[in-house]
Order: sequence, then structure tokens, then C-alpha cells
Amino acid sequence: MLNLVICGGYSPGARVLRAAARNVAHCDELRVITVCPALAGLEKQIEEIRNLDPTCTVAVDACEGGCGNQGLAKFGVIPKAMLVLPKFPMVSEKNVAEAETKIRQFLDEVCLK
Amino acid sequence: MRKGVIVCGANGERSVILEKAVEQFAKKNQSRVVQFSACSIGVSPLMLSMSGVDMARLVTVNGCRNRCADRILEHNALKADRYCVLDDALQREVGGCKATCSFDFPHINDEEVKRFVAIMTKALD
Repeated sequence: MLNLVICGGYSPGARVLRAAARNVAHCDELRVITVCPALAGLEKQIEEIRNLDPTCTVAVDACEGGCGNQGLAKFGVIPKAMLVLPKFPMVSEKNVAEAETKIRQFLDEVCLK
Repeated sequence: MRKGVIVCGANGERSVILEKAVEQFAKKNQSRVVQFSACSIGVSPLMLSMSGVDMARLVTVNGCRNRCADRILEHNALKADRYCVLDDALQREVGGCKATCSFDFPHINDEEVKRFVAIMTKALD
């Protein structure tokens, strides 16, 4: 099981990422995670993040702010790989499909390494 | 001065409802708010004060009763003037916010989304 840590935003780009991550999770063996509860100081969620296996964890962010990746770093987890999606100005089927393709390509590359 | 609206980074079914609500809310209120993700505040708290929003009238939007958006503000010595919790708009049981590999949520309906948008909008006024 691969852990896919996504940013926790709701900008149009982040919503595209969320929708694409859901679609990818429908087909592949991966678990979608946000670091928000851990950043909020919830003990159980902090432990969950700290216990993530870095070799099975990747971060995908919707912008260069990289709050998914930075959130992981805050708990000492360096993911196997990270991806920043191009900026999507609006949520549309086309943009979600493009993001989905990029995430799938990224996961394929990560798994080949 | 615009108001800062900080939305928690929910996951699972709650995140899907929040997404829909935030989209509708943003369309109606984009001229008077600046919206932030609680996660981005958690890793870069300065972003909030540098944005020029009214720091005395922050509004948090939380996907569950854990109120992570409020907690993240408190970790950074900030406090929301008003907060919203998704559960106040729900009339059914919704699973918790947690890491998940299942995103099949057939019970999400427009009415609960509209109710939450109304709660969010009221919190702005």
C-alpha cells in the first residue's frame, strides 16, 4: 500500500488534485492522507504520520507552497518522491483528467525506482 | 479589509462535502474574503498576517468537531473570531476525517452542502 500525502487546500488547483487523487485511489492500492490533523496537534494523527514508511510514501502538492511535503517534513518524514502539479486555474473534467495522468505517471516512475 | 477564512484540510467524505461548499462559498464571497488552507498556515503561519486580512476577525471552517483549523491557529497564538463546523449542517452520520483509500460516498447531497454554505456565509456577517 502506497501512502499518497496531498496538500490540504481548497483552491481550484487543490480541488483538482483532490479529485484526481480520489480517481487514482479508486483504481490503485494507495491511501490518501492529509497532514492537517497532525499539524493541529492531534496525538493519534501525529503518530500515524511519524510512523509512515518513507519508502512507501509520496507527496503530491497543488502548488509550490508544498504544504503536503512540508507538513511531512515537520514530523521528520522525507517521502520517497514528491510532485508539484502545474497550476490549474479551475476545476474541470479536463484538468482533473490531466492531473490524474500526471499522478499516475509519477507513481509509475516512483515504483520503477 | 477582507476577512481571512481558514479551512481545515479534511479527508474522506467530509473533504468532498467541504470542497463543494467552499466552491459555492468562494463564488459568492470572493470580493470580501481571502481563503487559506489550515495546512498552509500550519507550515507557514506568517502567510496569514502578511496577507493583509483583518486578523481580529478570522473565520475558521472545520470539517469535524476536532476543529483542526482552530487548533492550528491556536498553535500559532491566533484565535478565530468565528468558527463553523460541518457537523452543524449534517442530518446523518458521516465517517471521521482519516487517511483513506475509499472514496465512494453516495449519500452526499446538495441540501447539506447548501446548509453549510449558509452557515459559512452567516459566520462572515
